[in-house]
Amino acid sequence: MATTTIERDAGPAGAGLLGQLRGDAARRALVDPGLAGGLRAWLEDGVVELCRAAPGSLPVRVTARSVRRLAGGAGGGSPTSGNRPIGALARAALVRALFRQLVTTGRLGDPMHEGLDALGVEPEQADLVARIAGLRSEQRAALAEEVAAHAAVLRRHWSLVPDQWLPRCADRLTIPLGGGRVVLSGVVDLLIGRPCADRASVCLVLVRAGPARPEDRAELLFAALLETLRSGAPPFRAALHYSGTGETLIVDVTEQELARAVQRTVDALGCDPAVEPTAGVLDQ
Amino acid sequence: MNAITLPRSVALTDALLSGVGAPLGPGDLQQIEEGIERRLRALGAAAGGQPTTGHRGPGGRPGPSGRPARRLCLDGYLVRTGRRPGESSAATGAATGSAGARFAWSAANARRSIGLAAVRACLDDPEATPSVGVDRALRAAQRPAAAPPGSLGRWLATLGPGALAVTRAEAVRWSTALHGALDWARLGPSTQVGGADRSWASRDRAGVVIRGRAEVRAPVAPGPGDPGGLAALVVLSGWPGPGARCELAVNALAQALGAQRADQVPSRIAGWWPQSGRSLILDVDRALLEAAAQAVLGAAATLLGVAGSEVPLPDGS
Repeated sequence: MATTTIERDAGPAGAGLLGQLRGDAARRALVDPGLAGGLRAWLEDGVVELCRAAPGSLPVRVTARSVRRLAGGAGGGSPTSGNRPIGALARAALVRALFRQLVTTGRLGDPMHEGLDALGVEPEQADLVARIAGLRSEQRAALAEEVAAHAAVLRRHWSLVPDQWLPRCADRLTIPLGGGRVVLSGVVDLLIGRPCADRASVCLVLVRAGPARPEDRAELLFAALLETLRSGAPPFRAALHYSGTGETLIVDVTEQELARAVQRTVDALGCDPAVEPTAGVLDQ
Repeated sequence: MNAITLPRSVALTDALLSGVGAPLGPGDLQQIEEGIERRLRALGAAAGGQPTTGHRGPGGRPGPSGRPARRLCLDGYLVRTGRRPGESSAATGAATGSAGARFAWSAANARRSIGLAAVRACLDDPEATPSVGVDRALRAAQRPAAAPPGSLGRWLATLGPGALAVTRAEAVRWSTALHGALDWARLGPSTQVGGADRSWASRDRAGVVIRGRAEVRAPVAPGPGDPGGLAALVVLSGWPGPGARCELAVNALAQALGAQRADQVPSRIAGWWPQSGRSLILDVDRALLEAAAQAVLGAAATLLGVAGSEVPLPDGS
């Protein structure tokens, strides 16, 4: 049975939350080396069905947003970020950058300044940085105030992750299926733990600047599924931290949860509006 | 269900170090090189003796002695995608040093240099983690003597705390992936992490340069039925799509033709895509290098503006 925890008070400097994520290493599940292959085979069957039913729709990319939409969320938004409010996009990007800085350096200065500084060295964020620069001064001040509030929550709950835990931030996962006709993709804000040999040893973390939604659990387990397919072993735990409230949804990843994540992904494949058709060959 | 070997580093190391099928024979490389030169001469003639737009010399004229002032630099990525060098991403432009690509440092294209240094630090000091290795690499890069204008070190020195944190985090993620990808204890002491890119330049007026790189080069000791050789590991982004074999083969061709000594010619090349956890291992034999040469010539013909029907046929056909 999966354990779900809503962590509210992480204690000083986030030590409690990091400890909660790490858990008791001796109690982590043994890895079934056939699990990842079985999940992949199930997904491949789903892709074969899609190829039969709608060959013209390929290639497609399935993201957390696809799964979120199918899970009943109105917050899935459009396939592209073009019509999302600039404030929400900017807040999300800045908060993620600040989270990355905090867990890897343990330090945060002026949130708006350092967040923009971080986005400035990521070419894919150039449009967003330009849009933020184009905000009216009162809009920009409001954004800065909001980002500062999120940064205060991050500081309260997170701290420098010990380097022995091998923290990896903003890790992109890309799983091709059907020879690349379907690509599952996502980005994990933080991965900790060594690649496992026999016992699950990785914990993944997503950070959400927006409000909690019922479909968040599906999104979190989609990320866990991607990591399982990539590394061949499931993470032992997955967490979603809400930087607006400080709450953290923590889920123990089980085979049953992963099986449900596969089913949701297969369902998303069969649901045209939920997946994201691409103009041509997907980037490799 | 398909069982896999865990951790994956064991399986990748096994594949990298296992026996090579049919190694290059004596004279193979020279014959391949001569074939490429011959066909490039024909291509250059068909293209009017000059590279296409973006690669001409000043005023559109060829450079001194009829050689192009600017060369057409190709690598596996450009050959696979069919893009012109200037259309490549900043990261690829940096890798190729291609003309036309306006290079600017970013967290993404700085991570490889820093990350390779970090992995070397981890191998030198088994107590060091990739984070520690990255910190050492950042300190070394920012020493004034090591930071000429335009260099990584000079760029790093301009960064504020937020930008530096992102750059560091990118390098830590990249180096952690590479450090965890292989069972380093099984690789020999002369294993090289990083090192200079290898390139080969044609002597004709088409002015084609083929470039290749490897993140790891590991000598493979001879064994029963295995002549041994050199295994090269290349870290790639995304996932291995239909063009992955071509991209790796072109990389192997550049490394083979650009080798200064026979023991620098790879006998096996492994592509590894950490985003997807996939790998592709190829033996570097004559057939692979000839296929790579054909792909390079096709890309060069396109970029030099020679129509498909004018592309010289491969030798012997």
